[in-house]
Amino acid sequence: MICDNCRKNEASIHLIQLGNDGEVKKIDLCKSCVKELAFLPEEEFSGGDFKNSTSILAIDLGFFNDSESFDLFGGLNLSNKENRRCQYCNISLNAIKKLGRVGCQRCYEEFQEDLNPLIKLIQSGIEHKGKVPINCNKRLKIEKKIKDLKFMLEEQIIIENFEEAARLRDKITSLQKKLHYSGKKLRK
Amino acid sequence: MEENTLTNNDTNNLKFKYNSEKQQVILNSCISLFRNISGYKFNVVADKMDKESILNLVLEAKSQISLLNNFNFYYLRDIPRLQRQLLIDQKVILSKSTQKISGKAVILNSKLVDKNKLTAITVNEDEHIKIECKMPGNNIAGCYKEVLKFEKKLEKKLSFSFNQTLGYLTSNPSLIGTGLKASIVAHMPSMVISTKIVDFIKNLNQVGFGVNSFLGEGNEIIGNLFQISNLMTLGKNEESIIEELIAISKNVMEEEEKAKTELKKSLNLSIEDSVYRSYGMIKYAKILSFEESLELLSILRFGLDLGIIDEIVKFDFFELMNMISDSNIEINYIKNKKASLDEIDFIRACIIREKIFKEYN
Ligand SMILES: [Zn+2]
Ligand SMILES: [Zn+2]
Repeated sequence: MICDNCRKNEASIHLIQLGNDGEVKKIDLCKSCVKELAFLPEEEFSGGDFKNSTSILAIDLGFFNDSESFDLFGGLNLSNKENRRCQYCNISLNAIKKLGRVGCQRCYEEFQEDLNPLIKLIQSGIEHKGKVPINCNKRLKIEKKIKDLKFMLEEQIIIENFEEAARLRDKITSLQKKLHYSGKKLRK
Repeated sequence: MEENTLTNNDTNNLKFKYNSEKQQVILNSCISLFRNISGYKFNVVADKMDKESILNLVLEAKSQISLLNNFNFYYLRDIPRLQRQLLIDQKVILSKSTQKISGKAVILNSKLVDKNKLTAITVNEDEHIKIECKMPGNNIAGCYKEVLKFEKKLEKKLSFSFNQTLGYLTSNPSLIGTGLKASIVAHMPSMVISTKIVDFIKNLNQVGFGVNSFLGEGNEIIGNLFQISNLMTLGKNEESIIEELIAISKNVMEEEEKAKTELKKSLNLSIEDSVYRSYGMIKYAKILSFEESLELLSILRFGLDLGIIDEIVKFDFFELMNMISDSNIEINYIKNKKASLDEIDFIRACIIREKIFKEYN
């Protein structure tokens, strides 16, 4: 394999790069070119806030034995799904790919199958092993409660019990406030 | 709701007090925790109203946290240009943040509590909240302890985006999980001169750590300064990320020392020549740019550690680096009047000479 940079030497190092366009690229480099390319622009790296727009994420990890598999986003028949949008923040899959960023926390569920291969690739696992928020359990309970109440609300609307429906709706609103869903609601 | 303007007095406090006797390979440690507030769009798609809501939630939380009593809340738009530049030079805020300034804020310690650390909470940069602590020298664990203290208080008042599988959620998929970035700034002249740095970087990449130029753009390395940080945030816990970086920083010191010892053994004329050239430039140059200064100081510091020269002060590289940035010179040396570039370069050369030759003039 020939080095992608100098096109002269034999490439011995295989990099995975998240390009500015959000594409995941595979680059093969020779030893002498690695030094040159292994750095980020200062701006991308200031103050411990590390963008990955041009960052080299993994070296020589033995990924991608065939040249097809690295084309995570481009090659997986996603073209018809490109403009699918997150129903919470309205960002399109296309924009996520371009920006290398998701639009809201729900995007991780909405685009789960598109994001998971990327996460697998750039992270050292697919499951969180670190600390959890102190109010996490409390929050999960509230979230569950909201879900249950919404279900009950729908039932009450179907049987046209609007008085009870209104009561449930108020309860849901107040619980959502507790979760900081107050301020401005996410666009549906 | 408090609102303040960052003054000269505040920015003076941003300067670290360094102990020049400390070892000079790991110059600085930094921990950043990235958090978003649950239920709000991330900043890539957030509009003015969304950002305003985030600012208000953080302000409200701040007012209820006594740990943040000594901290001031600054809208970036209210910070004067030079002071803003100083925050960029100190890498407290991102330089791109000053392009779209509205809706962004930074919370900084306003009192001189401890000169040995810089704690800052930025609001509405790439993620809703970044809690960051920088300390001089090799003190990753200390930075983490500090950051955690603030995060624990904040998470009682704010509900952070989190899910059981992916952990803390961020707009940038490379930050999810712990949302933790740990980094050190390393000065490795011997590793660069002996070209061992290439394999070293490769090895670090293999264990999931990235190496970047600390100050240069792109592949440009200035002053043999590197920033080393974890690339992965999901799949391991905070403690292992910290422990790994601590092990790496130890390794960095050992490798740099080893390379230095080898260079010392096989000392050649060209190395000595470059040390003395740097010495001559620093001693006699009338104007020095920031980049050139760092190159010269790096080699001078290297020559000092190698014992090639000894007739200068054992200066603190990182402290001097912060002192001679354009913004710091303009704020603390020129004051109020508009400075030309030549003037800044002239003052820079003077500051360096004074620091390095003060006892030998
Ligand atoms: Zn090459
Ligand atoms: Zn979304």
